[in-house]
This record gives sequence, C-alpha cells and structure tokens, in this order.
Amino acid sequence: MNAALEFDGIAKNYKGFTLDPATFELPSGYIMGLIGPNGAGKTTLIKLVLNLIRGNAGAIRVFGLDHLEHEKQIKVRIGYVPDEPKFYEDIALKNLKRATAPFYPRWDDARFNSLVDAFDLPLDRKFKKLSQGQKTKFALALALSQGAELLVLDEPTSGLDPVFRQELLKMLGELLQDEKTSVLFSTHLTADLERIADFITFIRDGRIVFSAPKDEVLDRFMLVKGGREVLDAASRGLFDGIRVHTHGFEGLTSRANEVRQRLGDRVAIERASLDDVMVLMERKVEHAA
Amino acid sequence: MRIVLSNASPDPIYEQIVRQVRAQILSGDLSEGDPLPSIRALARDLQISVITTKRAYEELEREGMLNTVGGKGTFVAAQNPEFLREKKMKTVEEKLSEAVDQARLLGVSPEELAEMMRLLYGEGD
Amino acid sequence: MLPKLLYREWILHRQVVMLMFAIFGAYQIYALLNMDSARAWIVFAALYSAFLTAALFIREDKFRATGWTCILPIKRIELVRARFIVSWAMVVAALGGATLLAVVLPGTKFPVSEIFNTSTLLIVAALTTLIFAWILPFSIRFGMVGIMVFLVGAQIGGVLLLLVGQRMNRASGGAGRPIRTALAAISDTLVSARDALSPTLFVIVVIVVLVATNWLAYRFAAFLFDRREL
Repeated sequence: MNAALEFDGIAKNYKGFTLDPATFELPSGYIMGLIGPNGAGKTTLIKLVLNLIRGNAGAIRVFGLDHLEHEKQIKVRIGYVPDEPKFYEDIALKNLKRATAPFYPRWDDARFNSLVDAFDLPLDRKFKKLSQGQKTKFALALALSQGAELLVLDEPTSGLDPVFRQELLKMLGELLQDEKTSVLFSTHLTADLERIADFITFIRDGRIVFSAPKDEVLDRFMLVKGGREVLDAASRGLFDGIRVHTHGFEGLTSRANEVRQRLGDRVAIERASLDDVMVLMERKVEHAA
Repeated sequence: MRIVLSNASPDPIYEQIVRQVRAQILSGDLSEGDPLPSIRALARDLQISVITTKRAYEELEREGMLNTVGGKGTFVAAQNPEFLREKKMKTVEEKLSEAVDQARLLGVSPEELAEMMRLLYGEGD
Repeated sequence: MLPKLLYREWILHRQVVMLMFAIFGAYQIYALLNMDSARAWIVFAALYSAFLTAALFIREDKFRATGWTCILPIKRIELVRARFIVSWAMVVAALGGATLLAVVLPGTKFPVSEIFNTSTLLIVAALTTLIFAWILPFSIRFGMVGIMVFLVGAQIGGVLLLLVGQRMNRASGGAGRPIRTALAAISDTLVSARDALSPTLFVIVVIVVLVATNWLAYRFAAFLFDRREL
C-alpha cells in the first residue's frame, strides 16, 4: 500500500505553540480524519504539507516525493480548501477561476461548471459579495475540479449547513471509489467522520495522541458510566481517561472485559464515540462531590 | 441485498453487516452466484469506511459464505447444504441461548419456556 | 509558468491598472502642459508609475490572498520573478504611454525629442531600479508593512542626506547648497567615468550595473519571500 501522505517527524515551533515531531501516514485511496480541539495543531500540520509554513525538523512526503524538493509536481496533484478561504475580494468568481485553472493540466471545466450549478454559485458575482458558506463552496468547487489525487480539507464543514455537509460527505465518498483519490479532512466536528473515515489521527496540544484505523479506535475503546462509589484506586487504573462529576463518572477504557469482570452490573458499558474518545482520552477531570 | 445499520447497536458495524448478509444467505434471499457490491461501493452506499466493509466481506469469506473472484467481484458462495443447515441451527441456537439465560435469571422454568416457544411457533402460522 | 503567472496577474489586477492608468493619464496631461524640462517630467512620471506598481501588490496583502497564490503549483521564486517583470512592464507601459501623449498633445511644453536623451533615460532606469530594489523585496515579503518600511526608510534617508549635506556645508565654509553640491559631485563623477570610457561603453556599463542590481534585488526578494510564513 503506497502512502499518499507521510509525516515523518515533522515539527514546528511558534512563539506560544509547539508542534511536537509528528509521524503518521495516510495510505492511498483512503480518507483520514484529523481530529482535535481548536488550537491543537491541525491547521499547522496541514499548512506544513502545502509549504505555507516551514517545519523546523522532519520531513513530509506526498505520493512518495519530498514535499519541498518536488513542490510543484506535488501541488498539481493536491486540492486544498483552507479554513476560511481568501481570494481577491473585488474579482468575480469566474475570473478567479480563470486565474486558477491554467495551472492544473488536469483541470476539468465540465466538472467545475456542474459543481457551480450544484452549489448554486453566482459566477458573475465578486467574491466579497458571497456568504461565508458560499465562499467555502467556491473553494471546494475549485479544489474538486483540479483532478487532484489528494484532497486536503481544513475544517470544510464548519461554515456549512447540515444538508450541505451530508452532500459533501457523499461527494467525498464518490471520489474515493476510484481508489486513487485520498482525502485528509480536519475537523473538530467528529460526527462527520464517525462513519466515513477510514483512519483517524487525533492531535491535542501539538502532540499526536494516536493515528489508527477508525474501526480499531472505536473497537478498542468503550465508554463506562457509573456512580462514584464504584471508583477506587484499583478500578481507576482501568481507565484511559475519566471524568468524575457530582452524580457519577464517565470513563474511557481499552480494557472493557476487565471492567465488566470487576464492576459488572454496577456500571453501563457502551461503545465510545469519537467525541467521547477526544474528550476523555488521557484526561482526568474531577468535580468535587 | 439489504443492509440496515444501527448506530445505537452495541455491535460493531462490520458485525452488523456480517450478520445481515449471513442471514440473507441462509434464508435464501441471496442465492449462490448472486453478486455483491464492491467493498468501496458498499462503503459509499452505507456511508461507512471501506475498511469496515472489507473486514465484513473477509469475515464472510472465511466462513465460506462469499467468494471473491479477482477482477470480477464478490459473489455468494455455493452453500454446502449440510453446512448451511449447521449454520442455521447455530443462529437459532444463539438466540435460544439468550432466551434461556434470561429465563434462568428471571426464574422461568424450562417447561414454561418450552410452552412459550410452542405458542409463539403457533402464532407464526 | 511565467506566461500563466503573468496572465493571472493581469486577470487579478486589470481593472485597478486601467483605473490607475486613467488617473495617471489625466495627471500627465497636466504635467505636460506645465513642465518645461523633459528630464524633470520623465523622472516624475517614472517615480509615479514605480509607486503604482507597489500599490498593485499591496492588494494581495490587503485581501490576505497570498496564501491562495502560494497554494498554486509554483515555486515562490517564480512568483517573485513574475512580479518583477510585471513591475517593469507597468513602468515601461506607463512611460511609453506618457511619451505618446507628449507627442500627440499639442500643448506639450518641452520639445519631445529631449525625452530621448541618453542620460535622461539612464537616470530614469537607474531611479526605477533603485526604487524597485528597495520597495519590491520588502513589499513582496511584508506586504503593506513593506511599503511602510520603504516610506520610513526614505524619510530617514532624506533626513540623513540633509544632515550630511549640512556637515559638508559647514566643512566647506558654509557657502554652498549641500544637496545640489552632492548631486553635482555625483554627476561629475559619472561624467568623468563616461569620458574615461567611450560614451557607448559607459552606457553599456551603466546598463550592466542596473541589470545586475535588478537581478540582485530579485534574488533578495525571493530569499525573503521564501521565508514568509502564510
């Protein structure tokens, strides 16, 4: 399996934020969700791929090629939609397209036009006159018409209504059919990824907490809920993360069988959602009784 | 082929798929040689990960329920009638096992359980 | 790559450029009717149009669209190259248009042939080169801020010049006009250089120096822009 995207110890230091060396990969033909709270480093990772910022250490390979050495070759094959896309405000959409299309040999005008229709975008209007949602849709229309093999989407759904979000996920699903397109999709809204993601990379405070097939993650962790009295030093050790509040606790465990044995019917055990994992993992939150 | 997934179910998604496909094969809804959607097409239709559908198909193949012909796709495998019957028995046995456990827990006797079963069977006519 | 980038710059800036040229044209009509020195006229026209180009590149910064530009499959140095070319093209177009206007306008105060004086043209080229060498690297790298830096730098430079001039003035007994004296000194040096070489050789040397300066500025701008985080 070839990797569409490989992060190899890539690190970045800012004043006030550090991205620790990150190593993980996205195999070709799959979709990876990059999840984490706001400010965790998702956008930093993505900007590093596009060489909008330079790493302080490590490397990134796209389609097996070093992302700096082969920058042009790679960028032709990447479609990118940033969080809050910015274009020249006083230019009409159709002209923004004319300023973009010639750079992509695999540009598909028919596809662009059908997307513009589907998204209901006014090509003659200036960019500044668009709503936030329309701006994102325009950036998407451009990215999806470039014949890209790797789509990098930074919080693409956070300005969009739920109906369009579903449409977008469906579109991505279609793209993945050819087994040659890969998608990296960063979001703090995990519900979108819960179903369709193949891989999940979870980042928090500049550190990759894990990167694994989504099924593995959701099979590995269970959510345990129960009353506070159930917790003691020994049982706490079973949890990878725990939140204790006045009326009980919620714990994340990868040792569900042990929990079942020890605590049995004093607790409820259910499948954890990605949100649960994100919120609880490696956290210990206590509220006074 | 009909698959209905439930997020609320405690079973992993791949298992839900395996169960439902197996049931349809056993009941005859799916016959030998019927083509199944590709793992990617199924993933797209159900809006789930292709790794999940792959796992489900692999599990079913291991059980002998499906056959993948390279380049052509995945099809329902020929079912050995003995084997089929065994599988059917096993499915029913699993369900019955659950009922027995419950009965034991709640203090329902084997005789009462058997009577209940007879009545329910009768209702099915 | 270059043609695509140039086409792109055209699409993105053409309306603004046409507006700027219209205003420039109107101003030129006024200038041509009122200035009696061809050299002074063309120098001002060159300065005006050189600054216009900077105004152009500020647009991208204003819209924060530099990120979009850098997403394209281009090397940053190619973008810088395109922008230098666009800048020169703008100045040449502006001056060409202004000269045409000078020829066509019945009331032009000075004889048009004076425009085509070698020294005049070299001075214009040199001034444009100097302005670009300073303003382009910093505006490409820092955007609006770069222009500020330029303006502040120019002011500081001006003040320093004045101080140096005053110092020189005191040194020489307090009689002269220091900036005039300095400029005279520079032009005297250049004249002796021109006399030392043949006139043609001198022109060639100046052109080579200007081209080299432009090239160095371009490399410097690319160096700065490469390090810009977006």
